Amino acid sequence: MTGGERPRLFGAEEDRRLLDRAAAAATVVPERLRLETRRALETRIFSPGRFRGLGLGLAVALLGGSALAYGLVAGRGAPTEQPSGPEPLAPRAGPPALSPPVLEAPLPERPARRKRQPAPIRTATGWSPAEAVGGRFTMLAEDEDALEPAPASAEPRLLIAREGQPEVGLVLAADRVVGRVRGTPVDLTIEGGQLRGTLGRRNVWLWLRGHEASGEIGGVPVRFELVETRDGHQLREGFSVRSSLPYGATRVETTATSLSWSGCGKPLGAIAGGYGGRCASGAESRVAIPPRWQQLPALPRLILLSLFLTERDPAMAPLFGAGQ
Amino acid sequence: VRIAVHGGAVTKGQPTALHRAGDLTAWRDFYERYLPLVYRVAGRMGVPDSELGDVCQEVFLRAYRGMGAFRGEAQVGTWLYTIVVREAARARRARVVRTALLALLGRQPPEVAPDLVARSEAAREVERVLGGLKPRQREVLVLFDLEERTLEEIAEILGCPLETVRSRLRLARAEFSRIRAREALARGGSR
Repeated sequence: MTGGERPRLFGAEEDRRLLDRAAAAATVVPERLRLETRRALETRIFSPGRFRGLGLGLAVALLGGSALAYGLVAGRGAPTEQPSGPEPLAPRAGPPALSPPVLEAPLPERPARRKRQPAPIRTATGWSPAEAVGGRFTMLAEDEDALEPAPASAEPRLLIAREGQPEVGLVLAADRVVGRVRGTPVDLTIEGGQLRGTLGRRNVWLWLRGHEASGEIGGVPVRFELVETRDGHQLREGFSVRSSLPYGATRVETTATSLSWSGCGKPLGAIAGGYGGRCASGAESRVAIPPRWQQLPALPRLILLSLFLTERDPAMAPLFGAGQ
Repeated sequence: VRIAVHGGAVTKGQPTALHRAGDLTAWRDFYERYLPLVYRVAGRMGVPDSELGDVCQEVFLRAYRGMGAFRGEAQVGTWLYTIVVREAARARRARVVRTALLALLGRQPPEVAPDLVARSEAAREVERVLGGLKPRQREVLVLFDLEERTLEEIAEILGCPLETVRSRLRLARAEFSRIRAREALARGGSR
């Protein structure tokens, strides 16, 4: 019995006829299924995937690392152009057992191309939302011409004012946060269970799952955990798995009446529109948090606060301050 | 040798335009041409209407990703049949696990939406009888008697020896007749 012989007879002749009729029936694909499946497939196939970007970043990091290891490019001391992908941890300055791991020193900023950008709008605090978009998430868009326009300055703003330090102002427009922290452009987006974007030229990519966030900042693995306290929330660095953030570096806690973080040393009390008071050092501090920020889920909200409030911590400082 | 798309017809030949990332037109030609086949075979393999969209999507995604590795030694149709059969089997296993888990939790599986797809009476009856066959027998019977593939092709699609295909086909046909006879008897008894 081969395919060529096609033994069509089996059992009752009735069975054969039934099968023949079924085989001859035309197939009609429902129009809705055809269109929906095609649309879904084209999205999956033709959209530039985040994994493709991750793979590219990983490849760049591996190539860079290999080149360094084999001495093909000069190491420290000889200024060389570095790749813009995720960067490895910098060597520790002190004894390894005592000094915390430190994120790599920042790369020099690329000169901004502004041919398609509107004239800068100077706000009261002297920063411009248009300037703030220094570079979209580099895994998704390298071309600055493709950047979305920065949100208008009328959007609600997070203001962090500390005595003796420049004011930090960040705009929250829809799910996007833009601004400058110590001269470093910040552009972060919260969407689809992710917090992603850029801090200067470093990619930020965090997956938000329940009370945990894990991912990378500038190629360095980080992890945060949100803990519900009796009357608020506390953000801690992940301690259940390896994280590059040292213990206590980014700890932020909010309650209905106070805001505290590791760098302040003393909780700030609630005032109209935010929190204010003196830190343990005696420096006057004020954090204005617009209602829109309070509507964000606790985990991304505290992560953002953590990034901007602890920007002078030794672990976080290298991410900021390029413009200083 | 890869697949080339020429005006909707897929043949073996030059490196494909379809495989070039971003060639949307070639991709749509391929999709529109082969969707009826994929949809029909998946349905005949027992994939319920509610899951047909997902299975079709997976089949085309795997086809697209595997396009570069397709060596052109088999016909495109045979290659697609292989993917559909595997995906239908995977969907069946997932369904079994889901049902078992729901049973373990003491819950009823969700109600299956009524069959809105217009099918002929013969197709419905065949589908009902095929539901009584073992999955492996069903695969062979569908491929041989409904899809009219040759035994050699079926052996290639299922990745098993020719003798195994013959044996499964013989058993499947016997079982098909038995189920129909039993149904006829039940109908006669209920009258």
